[in-house]
Amino acid sequence: MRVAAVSAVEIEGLYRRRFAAFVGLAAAVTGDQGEAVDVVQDSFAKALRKRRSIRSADSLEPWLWRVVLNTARDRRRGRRSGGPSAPEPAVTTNGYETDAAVRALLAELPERQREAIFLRYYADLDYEAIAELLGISAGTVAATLHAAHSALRERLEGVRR
Amino acid sequence: MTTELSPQLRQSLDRLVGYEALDAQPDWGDVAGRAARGRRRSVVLAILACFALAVFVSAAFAFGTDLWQLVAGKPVSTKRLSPEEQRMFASLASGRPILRTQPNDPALRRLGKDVSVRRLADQGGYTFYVIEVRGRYPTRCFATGRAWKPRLFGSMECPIPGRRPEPGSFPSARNPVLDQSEFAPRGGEVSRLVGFAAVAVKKVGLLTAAGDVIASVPVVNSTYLKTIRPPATGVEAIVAFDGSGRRVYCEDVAANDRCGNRPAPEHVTPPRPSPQREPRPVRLGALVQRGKSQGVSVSVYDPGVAIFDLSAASPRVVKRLGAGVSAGCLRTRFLNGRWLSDDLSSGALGRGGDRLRVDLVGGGGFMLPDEVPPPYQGCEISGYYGRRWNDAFGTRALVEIPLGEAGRHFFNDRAAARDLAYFVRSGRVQRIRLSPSPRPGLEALARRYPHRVVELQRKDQFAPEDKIGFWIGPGTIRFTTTSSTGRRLFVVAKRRTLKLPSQNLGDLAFVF
Repeated sequence: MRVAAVSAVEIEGLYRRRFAAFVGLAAAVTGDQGEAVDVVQDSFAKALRKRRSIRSADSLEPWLWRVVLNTARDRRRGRRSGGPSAPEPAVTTNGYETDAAVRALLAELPERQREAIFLRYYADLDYEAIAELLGISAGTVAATLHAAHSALRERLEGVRR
Repeated sequence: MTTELSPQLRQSLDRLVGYEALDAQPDWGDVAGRAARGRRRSVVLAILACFALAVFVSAAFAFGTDLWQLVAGKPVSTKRLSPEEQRMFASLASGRPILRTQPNDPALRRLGKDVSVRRLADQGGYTFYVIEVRGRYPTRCFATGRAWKPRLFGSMECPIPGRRPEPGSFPSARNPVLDQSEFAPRGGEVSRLVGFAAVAVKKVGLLTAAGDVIASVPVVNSTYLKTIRPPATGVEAIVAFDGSGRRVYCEDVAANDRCGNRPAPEHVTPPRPSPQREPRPVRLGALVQRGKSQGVSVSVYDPGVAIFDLSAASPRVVKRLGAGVSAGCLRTRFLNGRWLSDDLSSGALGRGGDRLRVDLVGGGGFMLPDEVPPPYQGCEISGYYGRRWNDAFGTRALVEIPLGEAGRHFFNDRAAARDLAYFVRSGRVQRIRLSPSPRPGLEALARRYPHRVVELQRKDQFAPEDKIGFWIGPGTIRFTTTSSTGRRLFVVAKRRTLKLPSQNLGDLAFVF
């Protein structure tokens, strides 16, 4: 039985549709938006080269999330930095103060919690998909997200006080 | 499932989604350009890699370059082998009995030179290895291991050490597949397709009585793995196909000779050894030992055959037998305050209904230069289930049958040692070991498991039976327990690292 390959058109479609989300995840891991774009470009180039080994269009997106995540992790390790960049100064526009605080607090979360948060809200992946990507069980994903939410909520309260 | 998230936090996260990528615009042309550059680079790298591979592989493994060989795999340090495996391969390379291989034996020191281990693939929780043994008794072994097992290798197959590979032995055009499939203990059907295959083989499957090929699985890095539900119609053979769909291999698993491999009577040649399903029969000698536990009895015969009778097995045992088990016997001894043991297990079981035969010498299982004859200290059937501290499975094998006082003590000490090892190596305790202040974490564990975890007041104290004790020193944490035999077990961990400077678990349990 011959395995159906994924076409370049399907990859391009996914790229255009989800570009911002992929860059968001990569930026969350590398802490640098410029590098994040580079990670995403490289990851999709890899997908183009290896499209014949991807079994179906359904498995393309999960596969690409994994590639982006791993490539971003490699870049961060290569730079030997501890995590995302320092938070930007708070913007005074209504609501953005909270965003800057959230961004800073996200940067302080443990790596697994940070990645779980971004995969949930940037990639909009369900628990099963996140579990597969991070190599943990769905129950652990729920617990990790719960811990991350609690930490964020707690610290955010502190920021607002 | 839902998670708690305040509306403000959700709003902030939602805004951040668009915010991070605000300046970046998709550029598909750049992606296509990178893909093309990568492809050109891949071609150059592939040429260089082929050249390097040919030089390296031919030197290290004497593999050829034709399609009936294996992929090269990645080297694995022999330091990753468990102490038992190190002793076993040191014994293989030196040709000396395994029990005589002491911790400071020169054969152990030469292990890195005499033995090469290469990892071919990781699939579905299994890792596939090729082990090249040089030295006095050269051989090449093929092994699969489970990721969560402390030992690198689970089931293993080696030609008789010291002999040159016979013409047509795996991997070759005549034998492109080395099948290690597992069979359901009851019913005898194939339950998991597992094995190694030459580069030319692209697909492996099962041939049914109706002539259909089912459960076919692609070969990945010279290996294949697929867990299957036994079909309603019986399975007749394991078959393999090359890239063009041509059948290149057929091995009967039933008695109907669907593959047509059975030679005509006038040309009878010895069958290819296939230890897990068709062990070369070892003639049963005198009954040497007999034991019984949990309704399972075992009889050990000369020169080293164990026959388990499962007909009266307890419901708990029967329930877990279906999940795949391995069986075998143990030679143990107590040396310098530590247990040493040789696990002579067979890996996956063959068919056999309520009776299970394990050849510990001769045709089946792993071949040693000097095989270990009975008497054994105990026999056991182990399940392939996970081992976590304080889980419902406990720390004992599915069935433990001591064959004497030493075996009884060994099993009891091993259960306590595993309890201690699982605790010390658990993720939570590893994090505590790494933390600058381990006290809060350990005290939290003691509060959560008051009947299982206790703090000790003195360095020389040991926790009582069924409890794990900890003592926090300035530079170390000492974990202890006591076995039901009264043996005191300890593991000392260096704080803020994962180093374990001293412990006395020996071969009882693997701790890291």
